[in-house]
Amino acid sequence: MYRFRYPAMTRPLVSDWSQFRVAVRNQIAGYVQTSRFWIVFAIILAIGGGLSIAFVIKGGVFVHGAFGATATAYIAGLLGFVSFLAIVTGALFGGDAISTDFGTKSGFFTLALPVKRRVLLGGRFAAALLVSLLLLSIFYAFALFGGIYFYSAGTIPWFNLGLSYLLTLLLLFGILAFAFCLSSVSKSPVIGLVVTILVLLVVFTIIDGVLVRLVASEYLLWSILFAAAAIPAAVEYGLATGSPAVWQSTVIMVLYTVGFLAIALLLYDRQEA
Amino acid sequence: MPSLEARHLTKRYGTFFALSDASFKFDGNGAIGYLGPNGAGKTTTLKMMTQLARPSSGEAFINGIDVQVDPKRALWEVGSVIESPEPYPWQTSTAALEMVGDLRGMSRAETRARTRELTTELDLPPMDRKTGKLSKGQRQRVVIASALLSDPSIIVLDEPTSGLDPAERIAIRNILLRLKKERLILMSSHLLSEVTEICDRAVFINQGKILLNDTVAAISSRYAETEVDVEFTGPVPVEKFVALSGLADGVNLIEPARFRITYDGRDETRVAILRKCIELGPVRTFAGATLTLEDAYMKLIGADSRSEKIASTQRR
Repeated sequence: MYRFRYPAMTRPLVSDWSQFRVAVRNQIAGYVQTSRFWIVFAIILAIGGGLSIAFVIKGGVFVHGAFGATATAYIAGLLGFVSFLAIVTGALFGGDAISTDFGTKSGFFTLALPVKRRVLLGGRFAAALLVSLLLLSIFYAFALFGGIYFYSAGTIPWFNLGLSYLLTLLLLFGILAFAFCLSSVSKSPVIGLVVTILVLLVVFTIIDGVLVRLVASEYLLWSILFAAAAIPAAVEYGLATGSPAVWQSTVIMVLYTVGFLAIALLLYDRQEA
Repeated sequence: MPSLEARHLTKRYGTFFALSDASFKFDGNGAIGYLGPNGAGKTTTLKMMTQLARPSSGEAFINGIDVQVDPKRALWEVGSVIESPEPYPWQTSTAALEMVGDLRGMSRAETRARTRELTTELDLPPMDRKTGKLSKGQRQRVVIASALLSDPSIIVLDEPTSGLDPAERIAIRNILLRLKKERLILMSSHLLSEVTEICDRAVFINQGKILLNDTVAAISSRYAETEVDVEFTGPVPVEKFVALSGLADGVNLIEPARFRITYDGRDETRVAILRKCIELGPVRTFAGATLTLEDAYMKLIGADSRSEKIASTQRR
């Protein structure tokens, strides 16, 4: 019979940090092994790669005619897709992050283990963020390489691009927090996923549109889609980006992250399997 | 010394009490069977012992640590299988056990060595197959392996053999029989024979209330004390037992030469019955009927259910 060097009763308690890393590692393994990762990857290849190939076929003259003499407008143009991609990514990686535990019997397997739920949630959130960021970085790479290919490295607005990338990171935080929150409300993994996409892509777009027509654009400050508009704009205008300003966009995204993640954490902690 | 304790544990859903003021304490090694019909509150209790559900009131302690206050420390020495859990379907059995091992602070070498051992003991399915592709029985064995992986001192099992075939049940039974010598096992089950074979104590629960908490031997004898089995060397006609009228409350034919006699439980009645039986024919054995746990269960839970039915009829 195998004898433990450390039987359970003498094995030292593992730190939350170690368990957090285990949760991250397992969640990433889960994402990579499921079709959702490859779906998002395919969407990014289709949009980023497809557009790039189309522009290469059309030629530099066409691109210069369409986007002007510097890489700025070209990159900003492609990054206009970032909010859509972030929503799809966030929904696919966050929409069922919590409901899986309560909508299936997997929760009975995981939640009875000696690990704090907030550690599990934190690990899953970090995994979803890392995988989403990796995929969106591929999209950024398409935009960047296109800019260098059609223009030159010298015309790339590096600072503004970095700023836009940081805003994308914040957008992912906000959207994932929103998706995690919806996931903690729903018991069905599929519903959490579908509702996240529907709410962010359809409901928010409709409400934003109605508010702009009926009232004024200041009322859009509640919307993370409105905040996401700063991502392509920041490539062109940097810190001088107007509506929304970079600081406004940052505040909206941080509030989404803190608010929805706090609700998700509270609900996950109290949910019963 | 491992311990499990419930102090006035109550779980309420609106006006319905899934568990009402349940208290127990188990120390040391051994196996405790948690018995009751569907909806009695068995799983609810086990869930509250393992942080899967929150008590409406009362506390659950494992090794003296409040599960609600410090679940991680409380569950550190607990391996559990509640409500037929399922690992994440995309995980292979190896990945699922490695995740559990990692979260429990086992080195990969320990996890692999222990997994090899459990693979033999539990006849685990191919470990590189995704758990989502396994049959229910195969998955259940992987889950039991995950509960035993870290060599916990306390094992909490909710109908652990459900979904297993007879050979698998025997394998699990043998493991539990071995483990209970050094571990504290709390298991719910519908299979009273399983509890009789494995458990030293039994807790009967019905309608959210604990009805009985005692050793299996004590329960059997308590419910057997008004019955005695008499065996003759050869068949005896039932009519002859008219001679016991006034002493026995009833006589049941078990086999042509074996009878179960019900009486008032007094020693002098029992002696008088023995004398009469000797007059009826040569007696081979005369002993208190060793009723199974099943009989005690039916008497206790059956009576409880009947009284509930009567009460509800009267309310109507």
